[in-house]
Formats: sequence, C-alpha cells, structure tokens
Amino acid sequence: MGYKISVDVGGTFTDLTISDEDKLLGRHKSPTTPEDLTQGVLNCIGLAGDRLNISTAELLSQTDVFIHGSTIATNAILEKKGVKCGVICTKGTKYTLWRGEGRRKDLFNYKVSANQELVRPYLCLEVSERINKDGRILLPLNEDDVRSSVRQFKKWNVEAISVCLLWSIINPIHEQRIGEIINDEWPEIPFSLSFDIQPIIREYHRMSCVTLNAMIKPIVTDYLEKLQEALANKGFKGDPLIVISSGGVVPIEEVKKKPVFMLFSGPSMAPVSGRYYAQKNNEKNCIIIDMGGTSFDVGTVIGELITTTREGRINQYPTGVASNEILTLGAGGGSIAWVDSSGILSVGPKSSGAIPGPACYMRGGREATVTDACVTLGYIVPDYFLGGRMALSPVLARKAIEKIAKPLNMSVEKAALGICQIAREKMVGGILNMTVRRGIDPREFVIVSGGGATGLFAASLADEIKVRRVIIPKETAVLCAFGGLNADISMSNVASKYSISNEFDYEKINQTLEELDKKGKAFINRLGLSSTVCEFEFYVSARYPMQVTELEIPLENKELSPQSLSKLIQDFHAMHHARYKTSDSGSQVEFVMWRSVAKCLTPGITLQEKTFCTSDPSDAMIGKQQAIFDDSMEFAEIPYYDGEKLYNGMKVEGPAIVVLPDTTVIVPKQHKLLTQLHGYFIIERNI
Amino acid sequence: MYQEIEFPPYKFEKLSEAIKVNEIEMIPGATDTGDTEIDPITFSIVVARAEGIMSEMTETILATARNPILYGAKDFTCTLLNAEAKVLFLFDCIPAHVGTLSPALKWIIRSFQNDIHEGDVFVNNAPHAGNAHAGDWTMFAPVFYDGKLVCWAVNKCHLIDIGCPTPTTGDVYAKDVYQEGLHLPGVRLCRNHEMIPDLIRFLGYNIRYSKQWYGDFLSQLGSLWVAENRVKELCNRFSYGTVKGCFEETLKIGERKMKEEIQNFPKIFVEEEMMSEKIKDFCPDGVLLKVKLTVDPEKGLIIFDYRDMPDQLQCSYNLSYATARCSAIQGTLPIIASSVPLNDGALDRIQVLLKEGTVAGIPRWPVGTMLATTGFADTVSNLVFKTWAKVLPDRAIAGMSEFSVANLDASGVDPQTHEPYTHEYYLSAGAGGATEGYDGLSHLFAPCIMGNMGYESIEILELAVPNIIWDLFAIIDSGGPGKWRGGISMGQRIQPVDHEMYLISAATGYTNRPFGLFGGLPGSRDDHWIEEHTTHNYIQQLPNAGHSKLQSDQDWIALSSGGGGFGKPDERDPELVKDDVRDGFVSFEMAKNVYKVVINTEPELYEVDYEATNKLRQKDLIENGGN
Repeated sequence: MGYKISVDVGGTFTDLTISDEDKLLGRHKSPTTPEDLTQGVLNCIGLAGDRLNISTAELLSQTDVFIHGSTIATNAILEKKGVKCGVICTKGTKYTLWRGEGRRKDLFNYKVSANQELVRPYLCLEVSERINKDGRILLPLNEDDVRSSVRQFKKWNVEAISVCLLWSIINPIHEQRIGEIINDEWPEIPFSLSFDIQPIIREYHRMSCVTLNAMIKPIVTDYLEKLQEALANKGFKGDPLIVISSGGVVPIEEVKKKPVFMLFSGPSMAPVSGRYYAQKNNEKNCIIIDMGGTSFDVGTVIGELITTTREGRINQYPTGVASNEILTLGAGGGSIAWVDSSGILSVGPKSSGAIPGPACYMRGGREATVTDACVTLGYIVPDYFLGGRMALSPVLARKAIEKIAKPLNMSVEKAALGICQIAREKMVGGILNMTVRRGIDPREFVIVSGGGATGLFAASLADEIKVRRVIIPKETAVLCAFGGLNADISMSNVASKYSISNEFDYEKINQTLEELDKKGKAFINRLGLSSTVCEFEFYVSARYPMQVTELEIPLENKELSPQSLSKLIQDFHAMHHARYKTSDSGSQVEFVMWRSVAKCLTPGITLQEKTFCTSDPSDAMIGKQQAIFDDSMEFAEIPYYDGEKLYNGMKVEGPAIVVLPDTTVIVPKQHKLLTQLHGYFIIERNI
Repeated sequence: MYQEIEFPPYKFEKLSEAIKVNEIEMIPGATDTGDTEIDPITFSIVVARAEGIMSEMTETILATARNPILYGAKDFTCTLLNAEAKVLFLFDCIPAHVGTLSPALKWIIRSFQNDIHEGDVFVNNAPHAGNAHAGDWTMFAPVFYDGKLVCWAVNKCHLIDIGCPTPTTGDVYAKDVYQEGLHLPGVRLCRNHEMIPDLIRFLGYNIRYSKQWYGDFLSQLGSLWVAENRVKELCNRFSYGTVKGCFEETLKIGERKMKEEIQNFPKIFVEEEMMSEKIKDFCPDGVLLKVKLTVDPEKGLIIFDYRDMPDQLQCSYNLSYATARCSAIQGTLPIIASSVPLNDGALDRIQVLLKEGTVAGIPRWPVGTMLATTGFADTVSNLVFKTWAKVLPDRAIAGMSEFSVANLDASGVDPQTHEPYTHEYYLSAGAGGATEGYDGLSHLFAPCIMGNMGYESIEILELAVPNIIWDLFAIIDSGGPGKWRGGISMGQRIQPVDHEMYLISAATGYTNRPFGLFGGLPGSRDDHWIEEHTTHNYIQQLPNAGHSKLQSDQDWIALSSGGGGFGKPDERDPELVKDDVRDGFVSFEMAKNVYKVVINTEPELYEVDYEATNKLRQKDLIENGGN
C-alpha cells in the first residue's frame, strides 16, 4: 500500500497530512497561493517529499489516495464572487428567488433592509411550459422562449445559466430539452439543470440549490481540473477525492458536476478530527474551534455525534444539501484591526488574506492584523515561525500596530493587547452561539483546538467560557487535513418511489433498491480500493399520509418481504413516538424516498503510544523571550519550549510558550500543559 | 366537586383580571417563585434553553402536522406560561397570538381550580372564554416536576376545520357562536397523558377531514409533551428552584426594560380614527374606528382607549376580548426597541380600555367573532400604527396590507381521490409600510402575521390540492410611492383541476388602501376576480367577503395590498427607482409621473437620465412647490 495524502486549502495556508497505512508520517503547512491555488498544493506536497527524501514525482507516483478539501466554493458565495448567472424558469415563477420562504422571525423590527436575493428578478427569464405533479405535460415547452432567453443572456454576458422548472423532479423532459437548446445556442456556456443537481421537492429550495451550483461551477471546475492536471503531470495515477459538506469524501468527477455539495468542504473535516481526539480522551462532547488566517470556525460534537444540519445554508440561501454544522466568523490571524470615527476598535471581517498577509510577513502588508498583535506582544517566537522556514519582522508588526495605537492615544503594547482581546471576544460570541444560545452548557464540554492560530488563544478562550480542558493535538495546525485521513469514502444515491403500507408494491420497490445497490457497487468498483472494507446501507424516508416531513429509517437489507415490511412499519411508529412523543399506530405509512449509502471504511490513523519519560520538561526548553502575559503591560522573560521534544508525561507550567513547526501554543499564567500518552497536549487551569 | 356549572355569558373578569395567589395556592408549587440568587451564566443558559424548547415545540408541529396551514404556513405559536398565566417568552410567534394566550389560560385555571394535574391537556378555542377566534385551537399542558407545577406549555394552532356549517374557519355570515362550528371553552382532552377516547371520537365525528384533524391533534399533543420532557430535564440539571427563579426573573426584566423604554417617550394624549372596510349587508359604508392613546412615561404605561369604537356587527368581523387587547399590543411592538424582551412583564405595560358590545371591545354573547384575528383586528392594528405616527414619527411605520382575499379558503372534492378538501392559501403576501430610512418589507401578509408565517411551495400545494398555480408574481406599482417605498405585494393566478371549487372570502384591504405617511402615498389595494382560462377574458368580480364558485375552465386572480410609502416620492434616490423599474416593481409611468425620474432602458441595468430627471423634479418644485 502506498501513501495517503490529505490537503486542505484555507484562505491563508495550505495544510497537508500524509500517512502510510495507519501511521502518520508528517504534517506540513505552506502559504496559500491565491492566484493559482494548485501551486500552493504542490508546494506543500514538495515539503512532504523533502521530509521523506523523495521528489514530488516519486511521492505522487507512490500515492494511492489523495484527499482534498477547499473553501473555494464557500468563498465564491461569501465574497459575492459567484459568476453572473441567468435563471430559466417556468412561466409564472420568475419571482421565486426574490419571494423566498417568508418566515421572518424578527417580526417587530422594521428598521431593516430586505434580504438580498441570490439573483435579481430581471435576470430570471420565464419560458412557457408546464408539467403537473403526475409528470403530465399541460403546456408544451415553447422552444422559441428558450432560444430568446439564451440569446438575451448572451447579450448580457452572463457566465452561467441555471434551469429550474416546476415538477422537473417528476418529469425532467423540458429541463433536458432546455439543456440541449442551450448547448445548441451557446455551446460554451456552463449550465446546471435542477433535476440533475438535486431532485428535491419545493421549487425555491431546488432553484436556490441549482443556482448556487451554477454560480460556483465555472470557478470550481476550473480549479479542480487544474489540480487534477497538475497532480497527473507529477505522476499521481489515481482519482483525487474531494471532501464534501457532509464530512465524507467523493471522487472529483462527482464534485465537478455538483460543486454545491462542496460548499462546506473546508471546515467540514474539523469536527471529524475533533471527535477523533475527544474519543481518545474518553470525552463524548466537544467544541471544535479552528482559527486560520481568515476565519474562526466553531463546530460541536454531542454524545459522539457531529452536529449536522439537514440542509446547510450559506448567507441564508438554502443549499439543498445536508452538512456538518459549522459557524464561521471573520476572526483569523490575518483579520485586520481598524478604528472607526468614534474611536471604537474593531477586528475583521476584512482579512489580509494570503497576499499580502500580516505586516510582519514582509510581503507588503501594512495593516495591523491579529498576528501582528501577537508578534508585538512576544507570543510568537520569530526564529521558530513555521519551523523557521518563514521570516517574521517584529519591527513591521510594531509599525502596523502603531497605526492603531496612535488614534486611540495608547501605547503600542496596549493596542496589541486590545486587538487580541477584541478578537477573543468575537470568538467567545461564536462559541456561545453554538452552545449556550442553544441551551448547551459549554462547561460540560472539552475544547479541541485546530487551525494555525488557535493555539495562541485556546487556553484563554476556555477560561472565558469556563471550559475546564483544552485538547491540543500536535496536528492542531492542520486539523482539517488530518480529518481527511480519517474520513470515510462514501457515496449516497437516492430514488423517489412512492408506496403505501396497505398496498405495498414489492416488485417496484425491490427493483428500485436493486438499482441503488448497483450504483453503489459501481462507485466502489470505480475506486478499486482493495484493502478497504466496504459497507452498503439502505434507508427509506417514511411518513403518515398528509404529512410532508419524513423520518428516515434503516432497512435490514435490500429486499423487502411482508415480514420485513411489517417490522419497518413498527420501526416507523416507534421512531415517530420517540422523536415526537406521539404515534398514530392505526394509520397507514407512506414510503417516499429510498437511499443507499456505499461506504469504504478506510483505516484511520492510529496514534502511537509513547512511553512515559519524565515530568520535567527542561530538556525541551529552547530559550526565553520577552513577552507580555498580563494586563500590567510589562514585558517579562517567558520560557519557550520545543513542542516536538515534549514527551509523554512532561508538564509545562505557565506562563510559557510552546512552539511547534507549524504553530504556537500559549500556556497562560495559572495553567499547565500536559503531554499525553498519545503525544497530544492538554491545557488545564490550576485549581 | 365544582362550585356550580357556569353558563354563558361568562363574567368578563374571569378572563381579564390578573390571577391572584389565593386562586392557585391549591395547585402544588403554583405559588413558588423559585430561587432569587441566580448567577448570570445559569440565567443565560436557562433562558436560551427555554427558547430552544420553544423551537423544538415548533419543529415538532412543522414536521408532524397534516394540514398545510400548520406545516406550510406555520400559523401557530408555541410557548410557556407561568402558573399565573403570564407569558414567559415570545419567540418566533404569530403577532395575533401574542396577547391572546393568557386570557384563554386564565379561564381554564379559574374553571378547573384544584382539578389540574400532571398529564392533563386542555383545549380552549372559545372566544367568549378568552380565546382569539374559534379557528385557533389553543392547547395547554401543565408541566409538573416532582409533583410541583413549573409552568404551562401551550400551543395555538390554526385548524383547517372546526365543524362550521360551511367548510371554513372564517365565514362572514357566521353571525353568532352557533354558526361558527365547535366551541370548546376549556375542555380537558387528556388525563395521565392518555387521551379521553369518547371525547376524541366525538370531535372526530363533528370535524371535517377527521383523520387530518387527528394528525394535527397528535402533532399539538406531541409538541406539548416534548416541552414537558425538556422542562423536566432542565429542572434535573439546574433544580426546580433555579428554573422557576429564572422564569420569574425574565418577567421582571421584561417589566423593567419596558418601563425604561416608555420613560423615553413623550408624555402625550392623542386621538386617531380610520374608516373600516365596507362590507355588503353588514356595514355597506364602513364604520369609523376610533382610538385614544395616553402615554404616561412616569408610570411607564401605554393606555389605549377603545371605548369610542362603534357597535358590534351582526356578522363575524367583531374582535374578541383577546384580540382587541392584542391589536393594541401588535400595533405598538414595532415602535418598541428590540432590546425589550417580549413577555407579559413587558406586554402588561400596554393597557387597553374596552367597552362591551363594540366591534373592537368585549363581544356581547353570543355574537360572532370568527374573523377576530384578521379582518378588523388588522385594521385596528393599522390604526394603532397611525396613532403612533403622531407620537414618534421617526419610529412610525406606514400602513400595512391586511389579511387578503388572496389568502381565502377554497374547498371542493378532489377529482382524483374523490375526497373533499379545504385549503387556505399562503402563496401570495401583502406588504409592509415604509419607515424613516427603510423601504417597506414584502412578504409580511398582515399585522396579524407580520411575516412570521411562511409561504407555501407551489409544488407542495399542488400535491395536496387539485389546483394549478399558473402565475405567482410581484405586483408592479403595488408599493406606495415615497422617499422610502412601501413594500411590494404579490398576486396569483389559480385554476381548479377538473372540478368546481368553492371560494369563501372574508378580507379587509379591499375598499381601503394602506396609508402613506409624511408625504408618502398609499399602497395598492386587494382585488380578485375570475377570468376564462384559455382567453384570459374577464368574467366577474369577486367580493371581499362572501361565497363564490370557480369552474374548472376558469382562473381565479387575486392580488394582495402593497405597503404605504413614507416621505415624498420625488425625494427618493433615483438609483433606487431605476433598480425598482429594472426588476419590475415600479412602472416607467410611475417612475416618471410620481417619482419624477426618467430612465434610459438601453444598458442592461438601465440608467437614470439625470438631466431629464433634474429638469422634471425642478419643474415640479416650481409649479407645485414640490407637493
């Protein structure tokens, strides 16, 4: 078996983890290259090769599995950089995106602007056609309408077209024909058809989903093709796997067609890693925080289950896709501090990004960032930043902070501390949002720290919200990439086939299940992963007549008999009762949608147990550095340690700084850092 | 066991007076006020958890209900009340429910006295016994922990049918309670968490689509029992005393914050009036609705006097006690700062003086109130908005659309299944008035809803009802012109599939338009009519209130009202006018004649012809002084 590589591209850094069977071989971090993201990926692979003393080509040709997560799709929507999209819709529905769903919760506040629609109404063009709920054509498609719409879009220079017609989920013939006409009229224009991307009922949700898909598709496809080509050129023979919003991975071809599935690709792996470490530490509940260069993400694991949302939303737009639930705030190491006209200091959401990056990176950045504040306060040891591979300028950091200190009429140190405090306040707000405001008491949780900048803040954040323990993996700086190595390869297929319990159509349903099974097996065959264990699971969405929300229940196998059906019905009544406190056992049960999951349980990483050596960490101490660890504004000599030399049992008393090749961990006063059996750290407050 | 059986008319005090300690002291725990020393973190968590419980109650109904008004439109509110029937939290609620939960529970508490036990579930849908209108089934479950009453869980759900002679919950002709369907003035439906089967059978016999109703009933029960479980878990975690202490504390904070808010208002007395909808056969010329408002900053009180309201009508448009109280609250909350927590601690600072036998007061038994939450309640809320404009102009909002003909009840027999059906439409919504600095919002429906309900999806509707929705559109020029434009409303074109459909309308907003403020113009009005399907030839006008038939070769076209404008239209930023024209919200004529903006349609995004626009605005200023 060859290597397994997982790469996660963030706004500022590109992270990589590499393993051989179940053994972690290394982790690497290298600046993201926004003008050509694949370059940053290759740079990172180069670093991994260097460590193993082989060339990039040698490494990639010996790599079996390449896993990739990226925020490219998310950023396109968040930064409103999605391409200009025209929508083709059924006559009488052009206001669908503008109309949305209603359901305003802030009902008594009128000093607010209306929500911005995904695509303005004038860009939604209607075509005459109509299909009914049974799939019958009531009005034929007016092809002239389609052609003139496409020509209009061409005149307006739209860069993508999305198509969403009523009831295309039952009969897609008109959407398919529109696809042909678009190809005929304007072969170059990329387009997405709603029935093809995600055949979900409810026209607004489907239109939002397909339009998001169309808006990011040119950007994502272009990127993934470049990546695929670059990897192939360097000798990688396999099919890259892409991290999707649900926290699984799928082959690149699936994502190129449906990039809307990777909207939450980047951060969705953090909870996978968080759960991994929480379990190692016998914790069932954890808060995962991930602070990178541009953002601060929060996710939760409750009772060993990652908190998910049935339908992820981005800027309130429904995506139609299930995902791991992540709250993202604009508070990263690169977030820019600024002072407004009334003298109020704020941090973010603007970020210095990868280029130019914080002022101290010496790449032309002049604005004060959180990282600059940390350098000024002495939290980051310049000689050891990124393992000494990247030079830092404390002088430039100070200069940038001066720009904030001046208008506030305070010392540079005080301004730097202020920037850190405000950034921390924002993070506390984010954590409370995901916990306390949902009635979850964070005091019963452990924090798992991830991301390049989190180690600087994790212990003091935990203090603020009264969390007793912070787990800091050695892989903290590359936590998402690490999660990729532990993620299952899984593909889900759905089929909408209705049947009701008193007139159950065994033949139709068993045939449907058989087809789903074939699709799953084909997926596994395409992957050709020999040493993995494959699992096939089947589910059905069921409800009582007249309900519109289903409960999903697992099937025992893919062939239903009268016995297994009667068990299925009992299971449904029981699940309805457990979930909603009532059941209607005299009622029939409707079965609506069938789903199969084909899963390759890839062997995860096994952390090696280290033998206990000593509790004394003095051998790991590198030196001392001037830093400010309290409000007194006085610099003091703070010891700093080489984290790689802290072995099982070693205990570091705060105040101290622990440097790892890719991040820095702050141990505040009154805290201690303990190295665990499997090599990761725990920070606790002294009682 | 009880003192004696009480027959209507009931004493008004039974649903209006505050509950006193001696009235509930025989219920274990009811008079406990809980711990007083609570740390701020615990308090935040308990309050947040209470919101979480209400969300879960809401989700339970959305996921399990079987009628589209509940699962689609979300015409329901879930919350918790304390032992004195005070609303503890209002979160994600229907405005018309805000002030109507407490009176319905007071009636139950006073009727059942010491016969209130764990596992009981009560229903109250009777407007003369404190409920809003008969269509809203309000179900209550007392939540006990260790045998002591913690609070009441409640949900108020709008049902599709309540056994009225006509298939609707809003018939203009229902002049008294005997024509409205079943009234249940505080009736116990469950004991020991088990439903009372003979009673459920009786209801199933009398209500149309009984299986659908039974599903909705289970859904309401489930929501109450989910709340019960969660509140108990909360007590397990933080103790009974802490939870009760937190609940009482939130009422105190509500009261304090509301008083502080009112202290910033001017001490003032104002009067305002508004003509009502004209309703054929009942008030063909409309009636004049009048309110007086006293703001008393020192006492922190807002007092509305409704005692000059006209006499009650012999139709269903009368407000109930609960909705008369609520109309003042829902008309006032938009001008209250959002930092005031919404609970009865705050809401009790708004008092309403009512007179018996008036259209917006205390209905005299047994007059009809079937439309007590929409109809004139919306108009009175608009009147309250208008009254506040005299007090706090910068916070005031212009007129809002009222519950529209586009949201009427339709019924018929499904030609495929041969089953009868009724549907209330939530496809199109009316819009809100503008306010200083902001355009009016679309998608609000009416003051009774304020956007809290959801739109139904065309596909989900067509699955449930034999209709084809041919058009669902934003109505051009519906928003009242102004410096800040009134909200744009929506309209619809619907054809019944292979059957005759019966329409029962009972709306307002058809004879009056939502008012503009400070130079802003009114929004468009409601309208609906029938056209021949294939030719779109006009066939007939439909009434604001009454019964009509629609054939399978006909289309029903219904328009909801636009919001009122705020400030002078010719002061509106021409760029905003241009965008409105581009998206089909404002016509070229309106742009030119009212906003005085000339638009060049050549470029893709259009552009303002500033030279022509300035000339036009200048000319208007010289000729008309800008008016």
